[in-house]
Order: sequence, then C-alpha cells, then structure tokens
Amino acid sequence: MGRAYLGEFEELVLLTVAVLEGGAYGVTIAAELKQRTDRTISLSGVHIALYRLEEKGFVHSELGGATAARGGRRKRLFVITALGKRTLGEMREVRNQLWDSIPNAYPILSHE
Amino acid sequence: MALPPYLLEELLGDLHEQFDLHVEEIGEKKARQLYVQEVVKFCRPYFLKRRVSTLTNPSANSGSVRTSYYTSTYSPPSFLSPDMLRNYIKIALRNLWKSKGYAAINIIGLSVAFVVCIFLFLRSYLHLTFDNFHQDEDRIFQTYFFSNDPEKPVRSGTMPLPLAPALKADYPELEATTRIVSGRKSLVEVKGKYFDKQVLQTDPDFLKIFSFPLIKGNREAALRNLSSVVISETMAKTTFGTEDPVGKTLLIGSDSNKKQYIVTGIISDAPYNSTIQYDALVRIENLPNYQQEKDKWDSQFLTTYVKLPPHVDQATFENRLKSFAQKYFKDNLDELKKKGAQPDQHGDLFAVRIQKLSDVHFDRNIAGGGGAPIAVVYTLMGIAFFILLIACINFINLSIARSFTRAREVGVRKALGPLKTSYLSRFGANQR
Repeated sequence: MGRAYLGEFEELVLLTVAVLEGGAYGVTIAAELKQRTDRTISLSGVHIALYRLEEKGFVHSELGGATAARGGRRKRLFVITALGKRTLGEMREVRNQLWDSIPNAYPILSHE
Repeated sequence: MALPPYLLEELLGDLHEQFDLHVEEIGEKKARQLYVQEVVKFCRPYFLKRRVSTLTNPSANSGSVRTSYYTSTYSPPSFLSPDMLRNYIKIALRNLWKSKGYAAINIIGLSVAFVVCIFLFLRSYLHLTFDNFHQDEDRIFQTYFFSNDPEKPVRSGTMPLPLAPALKADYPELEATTRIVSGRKSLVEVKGKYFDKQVLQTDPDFLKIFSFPLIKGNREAALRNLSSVVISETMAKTTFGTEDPVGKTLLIGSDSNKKQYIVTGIISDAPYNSTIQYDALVRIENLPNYQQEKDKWDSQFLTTYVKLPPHVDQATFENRLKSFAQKYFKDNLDELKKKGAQPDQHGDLFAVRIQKLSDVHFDRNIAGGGGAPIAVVYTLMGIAFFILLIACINFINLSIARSFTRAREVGVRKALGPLKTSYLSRFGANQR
C-alpha cells in the first residue's frame, strides 16, 4: 500500500465509522467497538484514532447538534471519506490474497 | 484545563454521555471511577500538543470545518514563555556551577578578548578619523618645508611669520591662509581670578578655514579687531560662569605683556580628534615681539594652514609653489648647493609643500613629533583582530570538548518534545 499507514486499532475505528454511517462519534464508536470486540475501549484512545484518521484524510468531521444527555454540548460527527473507503477496500483485498495464498488455510480457520 | 480549547466541548460532551451510559449499565459508583480513569487517560501528549505540520499546513486536512479549528487561537507555547525562560536560566546556572573551571576560562577569556578588541578598535578609529570633521577637509592643507639635505632629507612643519602673508600676496587664488602659534599656556585674568589657558595667536582666516562652530559672535567680524578674543565654550563656563561673556573684558599675559581683550565670540570646544586644540583665539599681531619678527624668514616657530580653491589639487599647487621657494629661500638653496645637495625626483633642492590636514596626524615630521604613524594604527587593528581570532578558536575548542555532555541534554530535551526552533535557539543563547 503506497498510502498512509493504518494501525490495527485505527482500522477498526475506521470500519466502525463506516458501519455507523453518519451516527459516528466518540461514545457510539466506543460502545460499538466494545460490544463487537469485547475489549476494554477507552474513550481517549478512540478520539486519538479519530483525529489521526482525519489528519490522514480517511474521515471527515462536523460539529453536530447538542443533546440533553451531553449536558448541552455539541458532538463531533465523523463520516468516512472516499479515500477511507478505497483504503479499506485495498486492505481487504490484500488480506484476502494473503489468505488465499496460505497452503492449508482451512485448519487454521477451524481452530478459531 | 490542559486541553486545547477547540477540543474541550466535544470531549466533555462525550465523557458526560458515556458517564450516563455507565450509570445505567454498572451503577453510579463504578461509573464515577471509570469517569476519573477516562479523564486521566486524556492527559497524553497527543491531546496536549498538536502537530506543528497540521498547524502550518492545514491543507493536509479535508474539510473546511476541521481546518478552521486547527488554525484557531491555540498555538504551541512560545519558548519565550516565563516558565520556560525560568527553566532555561536555571539549567544555565546549574551547568555553569557544575563546570566552574570551564566556565571561568570561557567567560574570562572571551570578555578580556572583547574588551581588548573594542579598546584597540576604538583607538584605531580615533586616529583614522583625526581631523576629518572639518567642512571641506579635503581642501585644507598644512604647509611644510622640504630640503633635500645630502645627509638626510628633512621635512619640517614649522614656519616663519612672513610666509603666510607672502603666500596670500603671491597666490591670490588661495581661499584663506592662517598662521597658528600654539606653545605654552598663558595666564588669563578675569575679574581678579587667574586661569591657565591655551591661547592661540592666529589670523582672522582661522574661522574661515576650520569649521569649529561659532556659538556666539560673527565668523567674519569676531577676530577683526586686534583686541578681540574668541573663547571656547568650556572656557566661557569656567571663567564667566553663567553670565554672557560677549562684550566682557579679560586680561591675557603676565607682567609687562599683559593686555586687555574684549570677548567677541564663543566657539565650540575642539573635538578630541583634532590636531588644533585651543581655549581662546587672539590675533597673531599680539605676539610680544611681533614687530621685530614679522619679516624674519629664518625664525620658524608656527604652523601655517591654507585652504585651496575647489578644483585645484595638491600637485598643481605644489608646482606653482616652486617659484615661491626660489624667490624667498635663496639662502637655503645656496647653502644646500654648497653642501653638494642634489635635486630629488621632483627637481627640488628646497621646496614649500603642502600636506592634507587629515594626513598631518600620521606624519611625525610635520606634526612636530606628535601624531601616530599610520602603520602603527594598522598594526593595532591587526593585533585586535588576531586576539579576537584566538579567543574564538579557544571558545570553539572548549565547546567541542564539552559537546558530548551537552548532547545528552539535547537528547532529553528532544524527548520532552519542544519545537525544533525552540531548543535550537535556547541552546544558542545558553552556550557558554
């Protein structure tokens, strides 16, 4: 991949942003990830990942409306960009190719 | 509090929202603990310090909203902030204290070198600018005699009384000529008080040739009268105090030579870099034995200055002066011929020549033993430069020897993450 490096956690966050489709911000992303991966997810970690992704141009953000649940504070909503989508696709492609190239992949898969 | 302001709102909002979720899920007590944990986790460099590249190059980000908050009021703390300055000073003092010997050698070495250099350069500057403050200083010349004596060619700046009037009569194109008799200080009496002052006997043209500013009085008329005296600013203050001296009388000379003068003007003090120094100016006719001496060509005791007209250069005028020597110095020529003297490269046995006033200071023969030869001045400058060079090399040497210790400090500072410019400038300023 000739583009910016994407860490494992960053990739997960980027995927989550894509999944949540417009409703993605700090808390929802953290909750989603927690539910799906069963890891402890810290809010600050999610935020750092989001800002890094934005610096790299994979997501795009806007300040959204305030809700009472947030004590009247606005939230920053993240949306995946075309570049982000393309990068995710490429990464998936690479992984698929690698998986396909493993001589006897089936046993490893069944182990899971 | 340590968060950049543009992040504060959204992060607090997220924390607040998550806290509410946690309260529902796991109870308020645990939610509080988690909240504190999260807040602590937000205290990491990434939030406290934004990348410089995104500040200076916001185009890397897509989206105008994002751009606007990167360029918001937040900027990295200036390295000039009081806290950092205090830290720098502290570290500098500790470093000095830790290596006292090294610091002492460096500080003493450099400061002594600087002091010596500044002193020498100022001294050279004083000599190089000698007498060049006069208006038209390139047209003011001092006359001197050249005689090609077979034993040793002689140049002498002392002139007889009749030379200047003869020059004036024979060369009417000269703008001005003046004679100056300096010599010892004279006794000056003002209202019963006595002072020792340098009284110059000179011609009225003195004020035409030299541009020492006249504070009071008229340049043309100040020395017109035989009993006029022009006094310097300092002398006016010491002798007359606060009152206006113009029109007042004073006595110059002692015993039988005592004479009363009327102050007709006040002239600025001569600058330190002037060959001509004075406290007061009177007419040369007041010399005690002027009448007997005024036609004696062989009694030489004064200096003569001329101001050439514009467009006449030194060589041209010296050529015109050849006949002057033939006319008035027959005796000298005959005597030299008897000694077997040969003409020099200009064809002169004996000549009246002129030397630029600004060069007189560098010519010991003409300046009457005073002055500083130009070679000495340049040698001084050379020494000054050499001392500075040695001090610099010494400093470089010691610095290189210590650079390994300093490298560790720089490493720590880099790791703690100031901007590149900040620690570079600090290191430069702190370098001893």
